[in-house]
Amino acid sequence: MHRYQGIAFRTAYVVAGNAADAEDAAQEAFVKAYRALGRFRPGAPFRPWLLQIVANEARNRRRSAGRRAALGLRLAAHEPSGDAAPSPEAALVSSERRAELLEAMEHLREEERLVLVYRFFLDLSEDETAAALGVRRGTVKSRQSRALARLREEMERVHA
Amino acid sequence: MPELEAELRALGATIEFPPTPDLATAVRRRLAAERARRVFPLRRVLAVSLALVAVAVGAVMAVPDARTAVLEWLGLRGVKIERTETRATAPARPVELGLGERTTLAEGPEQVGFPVATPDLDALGEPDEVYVSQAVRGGQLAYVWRDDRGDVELLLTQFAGSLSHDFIQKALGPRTTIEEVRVDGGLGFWIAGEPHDFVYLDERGEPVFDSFRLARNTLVWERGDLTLRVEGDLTKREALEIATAIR
Repeated sequence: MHRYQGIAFRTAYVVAGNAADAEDAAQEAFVKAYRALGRFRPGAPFRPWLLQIVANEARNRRRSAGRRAALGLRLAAHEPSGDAAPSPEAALVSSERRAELLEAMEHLREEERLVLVYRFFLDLSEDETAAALGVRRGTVKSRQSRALARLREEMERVHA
Repeated sequence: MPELEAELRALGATIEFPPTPDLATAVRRRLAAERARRVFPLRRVLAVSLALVAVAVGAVMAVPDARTAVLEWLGLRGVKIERTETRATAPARPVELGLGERTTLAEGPEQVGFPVATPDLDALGEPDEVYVSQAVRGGQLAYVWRDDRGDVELLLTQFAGSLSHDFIQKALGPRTTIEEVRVDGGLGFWIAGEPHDFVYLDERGEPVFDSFRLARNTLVWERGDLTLRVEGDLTKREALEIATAIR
């Protein structure tokens, strides 16, 4: 029942940069989405529509607070816990390497960083990413490849 | 997948996000409070929640796919089953259109307990029949216009209670759509397709089960303390025009 709550909150969080504003933005977005149900195009997928409202709300909050965009993400202090092994994907990448990547992402421009966060951290589709960024789908593709190239450069710089 | 992308996914899997707060409860509370502030005496909290559920039910039934996501998320689904069961016990309506006692254009307004909205007779013509029903608390006044063959062309009903207070609607059937509209600034719904059932809360906050008499396109809206309803073979634009010819 609460399947949209997590993704809405995280989408807001990566834009707003702190949990309080993210909560506020996500809450406001749901209220607005509810009020705007009448304008929702029947048959359209719901998530992109919601995430667009969420991201807008989060941007507005950050802007009015006059804060600079920062990722504000950190690695889990412990690997996914208990006796469960880290996911196969995660196990392929050393924790040192992950920390470097995260650091490198801080050096990207916000629009580049966000497209990577949406696509790879939050696993949003291209349509959802386009909606959250407020750009066309084609722009998502080009921005994503540019961001990946920039990230590669950053990583090379670190290792140079 | 190229290596860097795979690495990013791996990184994403170990990012620690703050725990997601309980948004649903907060959102539900806000929506209820908004409506309470806007229209409800505080004592009628129950009515508020019923009205909220009701609007949700209407939307759920009207558009059964993605649009329900918010409602589902708010935990407002499932209510429709209870609604339907409740309705089965509602008393059968009187015969014919079930609009009550025949009266006259002059006397009708005096037989109900509210100041009525008057149709512009120049624009709409004189109604062929006028009815008053006391089955509705506060009374209901109905005007019927018939076409040349004697079929009902247009039906206008009005009763005390505004939509945002007391309105629960549900528009049955997969081919029914519902759209929120404004009529002279008042809240309204344009219900197109094959609507059948209409549920609202009366002045005391008790649900009243009623039906759209014609099962045709319907415009229902609020004017002051009244709810007005126009049913007929109308387009939305026609219905909105008619609505403005009722003062």
